[in-house]
Amino acid sequence: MGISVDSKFCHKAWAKSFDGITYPLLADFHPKGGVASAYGLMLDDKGITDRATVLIGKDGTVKWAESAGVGGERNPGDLLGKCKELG
Amino acid sequence: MRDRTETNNFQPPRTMIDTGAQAPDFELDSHLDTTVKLSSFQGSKNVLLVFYPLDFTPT
Repeated sequence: MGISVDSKFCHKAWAKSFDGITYPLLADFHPKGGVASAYGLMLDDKGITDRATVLIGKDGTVKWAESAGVGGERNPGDLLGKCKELG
Repeated sequence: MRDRTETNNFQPPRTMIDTGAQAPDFELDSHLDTTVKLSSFQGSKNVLLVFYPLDFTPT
């Protein structure tokens, strides 16, 4: 699931530009960045969240968390490996 | 004299959540007009949260 501080209306417009996105884009909008803050990923000075990936297991605990930085890029290979480990 | 502006802008360092920690639960609206509660997946599905700065930027 994607998550940012945008509203669901903004998410809808963005998803439309890709001809729709089938997985949920979550609106961490009110209070702004509340969830990102709980995960230590809110950049308060910029008003946006970090570019980060958090994998949560069926037991509800964090199995993997990685920040790419706002200007960085995720490493899909790492992510795929971690997902496979969880099964 | 100390620069009060600097003092007022102080923010504690952010710390990304640790591996092994309980993932904070949340309930948020989605662009699919559904409400997603993280804990509803517990016991049945793994969840991948992809945080990104803003819509209309690369994910």
